[in-house]
Amino acid sequence: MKATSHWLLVAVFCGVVVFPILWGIRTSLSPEYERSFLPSRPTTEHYQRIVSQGRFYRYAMNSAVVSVGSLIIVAPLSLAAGYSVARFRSWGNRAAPILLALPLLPVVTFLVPIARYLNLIGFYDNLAALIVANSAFCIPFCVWIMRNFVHSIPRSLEEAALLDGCNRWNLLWRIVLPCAFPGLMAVTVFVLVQVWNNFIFAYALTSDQNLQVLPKAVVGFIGSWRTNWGGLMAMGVLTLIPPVIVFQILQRWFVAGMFGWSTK
Amino acid sequence: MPAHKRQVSATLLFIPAFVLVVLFWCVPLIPGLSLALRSPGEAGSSTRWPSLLNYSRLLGEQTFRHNLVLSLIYVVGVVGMSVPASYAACSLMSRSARGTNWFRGMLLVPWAIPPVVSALIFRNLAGAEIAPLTKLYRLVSGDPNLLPLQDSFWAMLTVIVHSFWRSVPVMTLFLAAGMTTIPKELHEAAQTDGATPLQRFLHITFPLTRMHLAVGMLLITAFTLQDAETVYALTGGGPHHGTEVAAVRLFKEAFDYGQFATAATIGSFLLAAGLVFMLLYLAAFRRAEVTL
Repeated sequence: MKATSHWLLVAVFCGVVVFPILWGIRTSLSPEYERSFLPSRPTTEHYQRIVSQGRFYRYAMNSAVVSVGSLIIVAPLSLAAGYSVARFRSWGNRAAPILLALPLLPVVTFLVPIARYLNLIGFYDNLAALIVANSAFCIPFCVWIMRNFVHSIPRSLEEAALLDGCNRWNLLWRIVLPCAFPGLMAVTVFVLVQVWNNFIFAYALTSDQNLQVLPKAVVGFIGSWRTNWGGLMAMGVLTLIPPVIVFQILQRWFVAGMFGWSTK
Repeated sequence: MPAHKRQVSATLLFIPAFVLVVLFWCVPLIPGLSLALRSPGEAGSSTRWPSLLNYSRLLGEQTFRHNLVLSLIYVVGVVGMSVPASYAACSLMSRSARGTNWFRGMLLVPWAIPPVVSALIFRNLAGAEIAPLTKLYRLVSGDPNLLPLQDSFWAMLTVIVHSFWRSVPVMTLFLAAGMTTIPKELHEAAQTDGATPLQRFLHITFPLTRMHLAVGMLLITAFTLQDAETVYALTGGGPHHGTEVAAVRLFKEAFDYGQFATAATIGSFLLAAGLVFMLLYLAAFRRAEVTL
């Protein structure tokens, strides 16, 4: 009896979580004006139309460049800063909680001045600017994840290496990096998902059609007069597949990062 | 290693991340706030600075007061719905070891989906004539011709439900982290003493996850308050300002209408709220580090 109600509740939760996604997929496979819940004649025409257009590949490429570019910046910076906070007593230690609290400030407020700055230095409409903005946004959280993972590495390991004549930089490279690998995986998930999904930086900091990223292109589907829902949902499904897959593969590490963060 | 050398390497390691963050989060503050204090002068004359004209104009405007009220409704709605649902999800996760990983992966999927994509899915779920949410709303309201996104109440409810759907994973993770810190023996002892599940929740689970709950609620409040993109994609602030929370108003003023001074003025209100959350967060954080 108890087990039954337990599994019933689990089923309800899963149903609520999955239902909107299924609806999106259903709409992307339905011809226009489909009235039944399961499309009577499923069609892939919306996908075919999108995939046959060169623009889609350009947007996907832009999204990938910005996501991977941000990861390349964030991973080393957060590893170094996280190590510093975890292992040394210095001003970085005191600055760390404030660093972590900064993302509570409303990011929309900063968009106008940031766009103006970028205009001033000629970086408006540039994927590099998107990479830097996204990186700055992700770093506080990632430093924290890395700090927690470095904390869990036994100090004696490093002391032994130091006694054997290893210098600090080698230590970071040979000992800390391999041990902090799960932390880097957690950072990877966070950055790839967060940056790929980001809409407001792309909307605020770029206007060139050729520099669109996927979430912005999806919103662009909303018509002022009539919206092509099949096409929009097909685009939406194609946009959500990569982050969901990355997340499912690396989920274990991400959750460990979160747990480490809040249990410490 | 000598003390000063340690200081140097600590600083060297920390500084690149620090510089990037300060450049992004702190430097835009000053020009952003100064923009709010700039007001257009009398017809044709140049702009005046500093002036509180933007503030008095906005505060005197009924639409803006409505924006603020909607923001409040949005935050209270999302937090109020996520907390009980997250505790429920959490207890489902911890009770059975079997299938927990699978369930957790499932539960976290909404977090990984692009917010604008899920918002647009909800726009379709409540916008299309034949969509399930539309049908549900019609059933509940008793109005067979209800168009939810054309009605302020149902549109706002949809916005809240969507953010609730997205925020449950984060909240659940926080609470789950808190629950792992509770020793198993506590629950076992209470159980042998004949405590009901409700009593165990009220006297063990809730008090011992209080700090985690506080931090999770704070995060969700801050992120809901500043959320412009999902509301923008779901309703565009409509019907007729019916879902125009302050963050969406800001976003539209800045990027759809080019009214940067107005946007900056709204921004300073959100910023003030954000600073309060930051201080609360730091305080909660300090206590959590001591007590956990």
